Amino acid sequence: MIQKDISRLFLNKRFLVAVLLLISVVSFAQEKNEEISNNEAKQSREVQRDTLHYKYGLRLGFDLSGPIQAAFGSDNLLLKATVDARIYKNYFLAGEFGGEKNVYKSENLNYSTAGYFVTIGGDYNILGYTLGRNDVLAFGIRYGISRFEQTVDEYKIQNGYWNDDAFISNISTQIGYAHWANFRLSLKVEVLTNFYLGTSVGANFLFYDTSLDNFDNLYIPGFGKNRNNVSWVFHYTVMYLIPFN
Amino acid sequence: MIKKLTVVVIAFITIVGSSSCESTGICLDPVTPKLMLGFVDLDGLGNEEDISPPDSLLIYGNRDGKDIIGEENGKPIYLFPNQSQEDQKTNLIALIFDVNRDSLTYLFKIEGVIDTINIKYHRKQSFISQNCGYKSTFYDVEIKNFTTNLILKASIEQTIEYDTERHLKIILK
Repeated sequence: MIQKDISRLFLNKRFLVAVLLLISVVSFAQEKNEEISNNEAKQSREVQRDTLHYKYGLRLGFDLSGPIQAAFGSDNLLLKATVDARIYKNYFLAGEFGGEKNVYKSENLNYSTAGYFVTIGGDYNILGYTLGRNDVLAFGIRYGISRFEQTVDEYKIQNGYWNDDAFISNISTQIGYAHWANFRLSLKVEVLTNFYLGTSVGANFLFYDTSLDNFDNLYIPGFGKNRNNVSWVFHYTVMYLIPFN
Repeated sequence: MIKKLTVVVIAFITIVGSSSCESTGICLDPVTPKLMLGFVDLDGLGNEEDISPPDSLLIYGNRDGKDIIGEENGKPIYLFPNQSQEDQKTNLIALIFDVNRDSLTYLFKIEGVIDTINIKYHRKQSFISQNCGYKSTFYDVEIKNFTTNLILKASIEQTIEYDTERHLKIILK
């Protein structure tokens, strides 16, 4: 019982946000101390501003929300890797790939979705060049593709008056594809050298999905819950930057 | 400046992220249609006229030779009049399809006199939505037979997908 409550607490988005916020605040506090103690150094660095260059490298990341949910006994599983690299000043080439399984159970309908997805696109860092920090606050755009299987496991049709509801099970598995565009705002904070924590919020707009026989693509791996061809996505990511310079 | 901006962004992400919450899961769409029964009378010229159900009418189902009659405080509960007069204005009675069988039997009882009507049909399930799941619709619907103690004529629609209008029409003697 207590374990269940704890798992609920950890799964709560607000809790995760609070943790991230705390980490960010701690990192800012550290920055502030550094700023005071290294005030002179900072001034000398400012003089050299023009000669300083952007940090280039390949940033590899792993999505945290999926494994946390799975660890606390959820039937759903999301494994997602992220890749991004600065290509020119504040422009980044970025992408993701992963696999996802989603199970839905309710009184009337049980179904499951499993599949793989890839997204590719870019980020623009609106913070610009900030001295002494490599944090990124970016607007991003991605093109996403997914291949998946939709399985209707069971559904119920009420038969109240005749005293036996109809349960129809093991119906069908259908293969489908989906294409979508993603727009996002993301924040990546360098908490240790080359080690980043990130969060992002975005919207997906579905513009193609395979039409299924007598079922709909209610959930699409990589896209999320499909409501009128739109979904909101919210992620936490831990990242490591492999520096090139 | 940057710190303030970052805090604003985190706040924004938190608000948007938390507000994209779960749907309530209530089924609001139309589901499996009921079998709408309406009584009709003929005037002197042979024109049909919708009439309200006879006052002492009782309706109940029968499956595998067993009457489907509920009971509450020792009193029998019939499908009609107890449960299902859907719409007083249109005089329609909502009978229930048996979604586990391809046929059903209803009994009509007026002042101790009973008539039986057998209806057969085919079922088809169609997906509605996540909250509602699937519904059943009915096609090749026909009246297999009926007794004629009370009933003069009976007819039924061939395809039944919605329950907004009359499907089964009965003319009493």
